[in-house]
Amino acid sequence: MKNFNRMWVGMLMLAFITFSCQKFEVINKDPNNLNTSDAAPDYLMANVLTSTAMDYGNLGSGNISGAIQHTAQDAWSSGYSNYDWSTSDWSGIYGRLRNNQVFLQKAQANNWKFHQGVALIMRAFNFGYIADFWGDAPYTAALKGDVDAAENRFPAFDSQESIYAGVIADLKAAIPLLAGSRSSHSEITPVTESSDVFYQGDNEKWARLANTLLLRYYLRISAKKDVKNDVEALANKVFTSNDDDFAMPLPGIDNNTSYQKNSAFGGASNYKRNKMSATLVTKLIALKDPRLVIMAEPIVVNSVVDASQFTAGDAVTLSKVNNGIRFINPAAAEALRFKQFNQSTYSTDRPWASPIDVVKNFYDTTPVYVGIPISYFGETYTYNINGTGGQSNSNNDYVSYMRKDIYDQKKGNLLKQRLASYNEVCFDLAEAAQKGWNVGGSAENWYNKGIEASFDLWDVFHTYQGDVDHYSGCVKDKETYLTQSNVAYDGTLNRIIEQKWIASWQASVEAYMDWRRTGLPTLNIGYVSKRGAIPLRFAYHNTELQSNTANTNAAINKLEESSYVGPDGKNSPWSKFWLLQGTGKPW
Amino acid sequence: MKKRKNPFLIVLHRLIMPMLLLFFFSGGLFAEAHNNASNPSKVKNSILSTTKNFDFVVKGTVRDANGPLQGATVSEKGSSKQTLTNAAGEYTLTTSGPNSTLVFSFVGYASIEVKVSGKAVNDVTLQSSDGKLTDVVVTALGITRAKKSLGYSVGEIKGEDMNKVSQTNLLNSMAGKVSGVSINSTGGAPTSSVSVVIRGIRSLNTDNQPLFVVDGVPLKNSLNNVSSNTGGDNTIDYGNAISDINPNDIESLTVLKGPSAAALYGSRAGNGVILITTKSGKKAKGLGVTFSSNNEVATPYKFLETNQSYTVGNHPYTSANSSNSLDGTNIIDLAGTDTYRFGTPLNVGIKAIQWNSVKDASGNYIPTEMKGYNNLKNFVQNGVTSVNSLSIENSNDKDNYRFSFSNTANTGILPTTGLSRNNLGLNIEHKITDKFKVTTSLNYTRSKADNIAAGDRGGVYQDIIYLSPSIDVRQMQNYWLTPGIQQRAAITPVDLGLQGVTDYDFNNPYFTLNQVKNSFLRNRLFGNVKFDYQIDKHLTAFVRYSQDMLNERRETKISKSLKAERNGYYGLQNLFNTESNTDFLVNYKNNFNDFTLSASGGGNLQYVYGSNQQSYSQSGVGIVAPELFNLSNISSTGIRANGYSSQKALYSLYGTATVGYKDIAYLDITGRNDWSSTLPTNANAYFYPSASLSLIVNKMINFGTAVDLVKIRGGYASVGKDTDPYNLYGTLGIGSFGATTIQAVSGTLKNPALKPEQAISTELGIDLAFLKNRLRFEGTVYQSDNKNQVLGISTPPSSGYTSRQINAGLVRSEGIELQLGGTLITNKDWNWDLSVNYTKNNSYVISLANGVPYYQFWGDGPSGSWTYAKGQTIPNNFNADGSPMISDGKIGQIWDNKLLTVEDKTSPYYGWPLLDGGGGQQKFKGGAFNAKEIVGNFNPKLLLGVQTSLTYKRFTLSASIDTRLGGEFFSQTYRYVGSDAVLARQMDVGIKIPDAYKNNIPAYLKSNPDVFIKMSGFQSAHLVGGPTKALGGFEYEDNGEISYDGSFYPGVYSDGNGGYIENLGDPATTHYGYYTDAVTANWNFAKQNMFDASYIKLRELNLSFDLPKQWFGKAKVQGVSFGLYTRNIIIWTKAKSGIDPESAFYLQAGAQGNGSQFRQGIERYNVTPWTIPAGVKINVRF
Repeated sequence: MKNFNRMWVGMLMLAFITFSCQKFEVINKDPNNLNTSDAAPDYLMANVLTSTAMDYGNLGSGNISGAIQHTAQDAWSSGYSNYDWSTSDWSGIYGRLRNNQVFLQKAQANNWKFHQGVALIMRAFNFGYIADFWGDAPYTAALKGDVDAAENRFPAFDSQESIYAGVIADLKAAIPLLAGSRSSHSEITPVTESSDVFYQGDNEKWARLANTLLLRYYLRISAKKDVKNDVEALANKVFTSNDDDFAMPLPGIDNNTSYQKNSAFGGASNYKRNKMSATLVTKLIALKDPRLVIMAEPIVVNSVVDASQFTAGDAVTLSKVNNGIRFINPAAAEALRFKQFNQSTYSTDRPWASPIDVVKNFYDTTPVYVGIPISYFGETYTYNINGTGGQSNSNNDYVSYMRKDIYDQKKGNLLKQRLASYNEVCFDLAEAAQKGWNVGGSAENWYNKGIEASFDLWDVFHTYQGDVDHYSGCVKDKETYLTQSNVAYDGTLNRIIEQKWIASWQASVEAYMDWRRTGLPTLNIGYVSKRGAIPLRFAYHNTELQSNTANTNAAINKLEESSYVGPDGKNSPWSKFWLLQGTGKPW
Repeated sequence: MKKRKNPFLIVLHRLIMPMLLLFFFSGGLFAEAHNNASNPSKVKNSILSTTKNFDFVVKGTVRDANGPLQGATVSEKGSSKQTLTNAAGEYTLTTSGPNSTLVFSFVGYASIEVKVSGKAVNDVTLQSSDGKLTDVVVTALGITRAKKSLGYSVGEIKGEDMNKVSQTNLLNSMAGKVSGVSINSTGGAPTSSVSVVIRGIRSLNTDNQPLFVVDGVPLKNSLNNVSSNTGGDNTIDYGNAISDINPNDIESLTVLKGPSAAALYGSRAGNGVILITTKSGKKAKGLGVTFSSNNEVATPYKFLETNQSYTVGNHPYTSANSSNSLDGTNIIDLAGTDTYRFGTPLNVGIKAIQWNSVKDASGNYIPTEMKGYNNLKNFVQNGVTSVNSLSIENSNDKDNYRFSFSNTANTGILPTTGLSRNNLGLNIEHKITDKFKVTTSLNYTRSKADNIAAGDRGGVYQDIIYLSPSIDVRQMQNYWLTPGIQQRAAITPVDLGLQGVTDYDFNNPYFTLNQVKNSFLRNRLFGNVKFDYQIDKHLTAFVRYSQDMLNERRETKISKSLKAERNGYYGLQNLFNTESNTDFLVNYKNNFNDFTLSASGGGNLQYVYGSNQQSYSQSGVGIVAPELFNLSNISSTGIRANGYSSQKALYSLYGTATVGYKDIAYLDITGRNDWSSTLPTNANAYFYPSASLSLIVNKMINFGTAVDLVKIRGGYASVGKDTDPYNLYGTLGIGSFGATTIQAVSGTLKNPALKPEQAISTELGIDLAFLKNRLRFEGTVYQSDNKNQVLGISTPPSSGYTSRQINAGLVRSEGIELQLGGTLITNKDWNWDLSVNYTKNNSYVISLANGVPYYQFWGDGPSGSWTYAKGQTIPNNFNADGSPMISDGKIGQIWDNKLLTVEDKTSPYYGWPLLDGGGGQQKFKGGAFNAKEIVGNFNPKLLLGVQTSLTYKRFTLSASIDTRLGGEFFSQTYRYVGSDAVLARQMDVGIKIPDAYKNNIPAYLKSNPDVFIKMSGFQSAHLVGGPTKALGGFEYEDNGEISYDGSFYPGVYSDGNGGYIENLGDPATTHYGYYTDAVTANWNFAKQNMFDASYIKLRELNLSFDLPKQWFGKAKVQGVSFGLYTRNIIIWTKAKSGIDPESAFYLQAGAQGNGSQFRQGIERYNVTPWTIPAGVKINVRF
């Protein structure tokens, strides 16, 4: 009897054991995601392209646009306008490169040439991005986290120099893969076309892009390497018109797919705190540049200094509005040590970090368009004696916003994530020609082409001709513009870079790179600028420093401290990496 | 998402239950027949009894106060003859004659000797031994044990002790009552999540919550109940569903603290087990009906101390302030703007045109006086909670049942919030035969909240706090400007042209409260059916099927014009979780001379499935027509949907044996083997054993009559743990960018070679009782080592992956628990019990993986909590003697940025703050991660709980007090609102300059640089100046206006040539800013906003009175009791910050990686006003 009981107890146990050993792998198959091995190259490509476009494009129309003094933010702007750059995280870029790597492997496995070419270009572009901003970085040892080995877990850093060499090699390797007629590339399917948000599967345009990026990177390293022959060999392979631009239109469906400064999805301040920088406005006014009308919103109230509007002896009332004009009382201005803003003396009127206030504040009576001085002291939304509002809701009638009907939008014909453009190519070739290299045209020729391409790109003399005609401060056509003495090519690099700087509106990363390489154009430093100089690089972020400490510290040790690093130590935005060491640029 | 369930498993589950039943029934019935007809031993016995005249067969039933006792020993005195009672408490013993004496004994009960005197039937009722230590407790797998025999510490709370004071949340009623258990609630609402942590942090990758087992049904519990489903801040804590259990249904609650106690529950028991036994009808003597009613009012009494003396302004007030004045006479209040400065003084007779001003006959606004209001106080209301319960129970020889119904209706202190809950419970036991019993327990709960106020940033409290104090929030109740389209914010009249209608920084609090509606409806059904069979007098068995099913529907409706979601929002989420367990257990019990043996073996099939389906409008895109909350009212480009499901299976076999020697020593051993679907198929099995020993020393050594118990106990256990589903292989996610489909390779590296985790614990304890158990003591020391934890560790982003799943680390948790209880007075009329418990726990990271020096729990703002493994050098932190700090691995450290100071020791300015070129304080190395310093620890130094109960005749006064000493927390509320002119304390934090030094401030500051210049501790600010002239502000010019809110940070700044310039108030060299406590320093450092977390709380205070039966005459009333109570009253906090230190927890939505959303030592907008609840409880038994 006991044996019998034991028997069925034993059978129960046996039943348990039998059931328990089966089908666990089926139960543990993730029903929510695909296996990595099921990845579709076109969809991975779409991921890499769109995320690169959003990230790099937003940098160009956002923070770097502030750094290069195109635009200014007047709230929560210490990074944007005062150069208080915190460390920068490259996780997003390496994450994208992870996807790109699987994309490349898949394309190679399938022997899909077009996809391989695109993957190589995107690898070059994103590693170029890392080298440009951080300097030394993991490159050959990077992206191997899935291969279990100690050296992969803690990737060693490559020198900035060798990353640039790799970027150039990848771009060169991409070109033959993209060669041939479109019909010879059977791997380009309708899915490829819809996934290629830049060129819709046009292999020839991708090839031109590879050459264009080669031109960009040869110039980038031109102070450190002899690139004359390389550049000369590229001259007729690069972009030939604005249609070739490496630019992604915005879907504008939600916040993630829209122009970053629109207020449709978030709060009004997303748009409202974006204003024009005085540096750019002053320059465009001096050049009578009609592009100002597509950039800026006219101010609502003009200001004039007029003592007659105030009671004699009143040295307290600084300003008042009368009949739509704001009058400024010169006696009060003097008493309060207010001064008319002047771009050329701004940095000395209120020297950086001086505790002694010779000039306490500024006003600006420029008509129509007024910009905010860089690193303006105080609550920036109060600039130009504005009294209303707070950080997020100021209405400043005395300073120019970005043009609302263009930039407070989710998407638009002019609003593209622009990563490389034909006008950049023209100015690059102008610079090469100016150096005496043979690039199929004179420096002046390429310089003029660059300016014209920029006017065309922004539709200045087509859609916006009416606004151009309406604004009395600018010329009305290209020809007049080009013949002005302060515009016409004068043989200097300064002029080329200045126009390239203006043309890089909303795609300002190249302007920043040029400024760093050449010190041009001359940019201001303001009173509350973090360190009295414009930073040169992104500092390595904690994410890498924390988890890859020894290798990151080794890279940090190779940086050259400048006198502006302050308490940062070597891992400072004001340290110089290989590209700038020994060049004496930009400062 | 194609396949949710594996069909094999469905089939398996459909088959296994009937199969098991079939086995059981056939085996059971067959055995029964066998027993009666052809059991040779029985036949032999009967032959013996007839042939041997001297033998005398005695039968009977052994009971205790509650019913039959199974396993009681019946022996004949002076003979080795003995037997055990069966499940019905029955025994049959052949004795040596009609004059023999029987001894009835059972652990925990006083033994009884009965002279047979020729009686063939002897029924006895055993009385439980005096005092509490000999109680019987429910242990793992529902096995009832005498507490005395246990080799490990268990905590126990009786249902009646939990219900003296009504708590809507079951878990809260455990607070302070069991040593080693810490309970923390993240918010004041009944819907808030409650964390239960037993013996400290043991796991780095989970929320450390114990397993709950109700009547044998394991219930899913986690703290991941927070979601923030909109783009804007709308962080909602839906609470943990475990709190839906009806406290009134609880018979007893046992806390199995250590793995030795819990080893049989396997994987999930690593953080301890809370066993709940619900009331059944067993105790009923015939039909009984109990009705109880609780009604309680909670009155808010303490509020975050906000500034009520100045408007929140753009500029300090001046009488001719150009921007604050409209035509020079009437002042416009720019209230409601988010700026840093104290504006117009309130309550001083200043009149202004305000947001709510009306026009006079000629169309001009009439200025009104500016006053300050306590809007937090004015906004909230008294909360009301009613709990009404009815239970019916009955029992007879064959059957007993208990049915209960309970309704909870709660209205929160925020209007429109609250909780409503219905609980139904049914326990039935039916004896099919004397040996075969079926029981079932079913629980159904429906809980529902129509509106849960969002927490964190973006919640209604934030909107109230940021409202300028010049605005009386009560006047904002009419919150629509254009119904459905535009809320009415407290802004300047539009026709004055100063601001547009949509320019508001914070929402109308009434709008947020009424038009941001977060609701849930939760249905939980759990229960089991269990068949018990007594195979013979030594062998019993049961098989059980249990099921827990939880369905929760969450809905969020946001009207248009919420600041963070201007276009509105609609979202619907359905969560479904189910777990089934099929288990069996065979018990064997026998006595061999002086030894007792109890052994059990069993197995379990567990299957868990969960899914989460969500549809919602894309953040920012919103809904189309206003006020229509339906998925069809979301545009085709704006609608989003996602889903997730997971399943896992765990199969187990286990066994346990207890050997007792006399009443002196007990040895327990257990072993369990698990097979988990979540581990690699070739290595998915793991075995783990445990052992514990209990020695009753007073039975070995005679200590005299004053000593009732000296027990030494010790245990060792190992527990294995599997991982979450789908942790083995990397995956590819699918998404979209506009109309473009994208795929992404997961950045988290999975690990196909994961091993099970292992927890090894040891504990040692002593239990003492003196003076007839009037003085009782229990002490336990324990250590628990958790190895091979499955951790998601951060990897260098440059490796292409941001985290990696590894098996690594050793986390050690160790501590002491002491419990001292005494019956101070006991006589006919009086009884006074007092019990004190003390808990001290420390957890350490002993080691991590190679190249991983520390583990981060969270990071927030300048602060964070991470722990360097023991022995690691902590960068940039030094001991007092200047040597590098070596980590002791202690978990709980809170870090902060270091202030940059002059580091040159030869400089006279050594240690002074080194300011930047603008006079601002700077972070050491820019606040880099490896440049931060340890400034606190979130763990308490000790926890102390005191329970006392004083009875006089029919009156009982009981109280529960608990104390936490030590530990710190970081208040993000203070940091956030402290960067605006919101807190009362900000008005007056500047260093006071005595009049004599007004013209020589540097001399004054230098007179005591340690206090005035150097910084240390949690100083709230370190600046000279004030928000107004009266409060010490310096003349300050801003944009053409002279105001008097200038201030400066004492310190030095570089002269650019290696020297320093003093920034001490000399106007020629000092950098002034406007009163900046609020801004830079507050934002860059956490210290200003860190507080000591010590507190004393009156958890419960209860006065109850049993009405004499005779009052009711002949009415069929068996008893009426009446009680008055209050609870959770904060008596004292050290920090006096207005924030309940117990709420210094942050439940973060969507936090991944560290396994838990629950962050300790940080608080974000947990500023629910403190309340005093007062309640009445009436209990009537018929």
